[in-house]
Amino acid sequence: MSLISVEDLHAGYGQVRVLHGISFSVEEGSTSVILGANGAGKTTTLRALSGMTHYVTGRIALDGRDITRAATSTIVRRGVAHVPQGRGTFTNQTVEENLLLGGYARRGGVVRDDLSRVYELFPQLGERPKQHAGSLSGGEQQMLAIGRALMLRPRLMLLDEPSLGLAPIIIADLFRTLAELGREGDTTMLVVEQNANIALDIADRVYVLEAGRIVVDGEPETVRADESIRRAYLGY
Amino acid sequence: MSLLIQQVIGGIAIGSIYASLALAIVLIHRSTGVVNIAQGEMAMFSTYVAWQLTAWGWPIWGAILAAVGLSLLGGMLIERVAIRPVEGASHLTVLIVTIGLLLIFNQAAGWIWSFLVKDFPSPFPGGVWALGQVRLSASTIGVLVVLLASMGLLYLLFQYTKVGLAMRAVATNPESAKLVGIRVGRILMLGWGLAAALGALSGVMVAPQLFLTPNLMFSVLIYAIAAAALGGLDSPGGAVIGGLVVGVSENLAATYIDFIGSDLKVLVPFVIIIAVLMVKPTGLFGQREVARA
Repeated sequence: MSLISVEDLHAGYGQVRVLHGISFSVEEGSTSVILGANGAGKTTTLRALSGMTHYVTGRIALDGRDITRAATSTIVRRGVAHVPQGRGTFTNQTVEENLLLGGYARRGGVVRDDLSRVYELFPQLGERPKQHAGSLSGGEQQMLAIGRALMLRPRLMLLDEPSLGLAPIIIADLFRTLAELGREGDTTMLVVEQNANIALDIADRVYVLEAGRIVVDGEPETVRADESIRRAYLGY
Repeated sequence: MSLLIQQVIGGIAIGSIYASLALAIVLIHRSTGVVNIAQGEMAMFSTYVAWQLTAWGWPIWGAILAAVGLSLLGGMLIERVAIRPVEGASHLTVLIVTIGLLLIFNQAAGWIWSFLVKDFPSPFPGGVWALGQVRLSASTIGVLVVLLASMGLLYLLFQYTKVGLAMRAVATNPESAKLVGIRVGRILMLGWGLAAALGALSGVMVAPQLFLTPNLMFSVLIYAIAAAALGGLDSPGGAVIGGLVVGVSENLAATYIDFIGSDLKVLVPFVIIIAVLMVKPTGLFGQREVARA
């Protein structure tokens, strides 16, 4: 069954309406990717799921329970971890403090094992737990942001343009790790990306968003094979 | 030499009062971006509460602890009632609200307790210790110990507890703090509460030296803002060091520079501050953005 299902979602900020009734779902253990150009509403979709938009109508259900108008702190406690665009690093805190903050909402506190798991996944972070996070490189900060999300042991991980501003070789590395996480199967992921080519590699299901509406919904192979979709929306 | 030591210790004692109010200002500034102009008046009001309790026959330490506790709750209430509604508004709006709070507390204190000068009892015994030529009053040492200990406790809270980490995280990146599930509103309330409690402590420590009037904290606030600017408005450690530097430099200048004396000593810290800020606008310990793009 779907871990998260979204029906007729409208959302925006103040007078600005960004999403005009989108519906989609993400199956438990799968990775879904939302593609789209700048301003299509990708970030707003994720923010609406996290309770970070000014208004929301429609219905968002996590595991069958309605979270449409729930507070962000409640949604996080239900197991939704959000890796924001631009990484959201706590720049004045250390690498380890950033990770501990990721587990802030967990009942019973953070287990040492989770820290080791993140350090194993991203050895570069494990080498410098006491370093100020603001002095990490962009790629390392993106790893830290993903590590922070994993500390929640999330049921659903939302990733907002993880490739933004990173060098191609770093992006490839990062998506290899995401693919690995996806294959392990206990993390469900919803990734929004502009970088269609690399995002399609990790997707089980693809949605294309344009001007606040979903215009394509299908398997990655289908989307890749369809030249008209590629030309019209993905630009390659 | 003994005169020097005497003046330095006296300066540290008065500086610790500036430091604690400066620290209160920094706690609020780094999470809201605004200097709480009402911090001194809130502390003055807390001091009146302590005075009122002693007038009702409470022992002095009981009255102080109760006033500090009430200030913690009062500070949280102020955040919820007066600051939360303008959260996210421009800094100027929030600043004007704090000016409103200043006037309210100043006038309310005068209305409730009158503007007549009151004697605030010292919580410390009257003895003087002589170490060689250096003579230290018990109250000087007492003030120093109480304020440094309370600031030390705050440091431990910030550095080694979960709620302290959450408070630092909110100050660094409120949006990310929200996304990891921190209830940012509650943390901001707690910040105001702690600032008010610390301010209350500085008020009851300075009151026996200055007498209690509704304008008790006015000059202390000026020094505290100076200390915070000197140390860096987002650096708690800087605020403390700034406070001590202001206290000591003021005392030393008054003692050793003839034309300054006690009349012009007010100017000394400001000259230092202007000099520091010209060289380093973020203050001595203010953080420049260390983030890489």
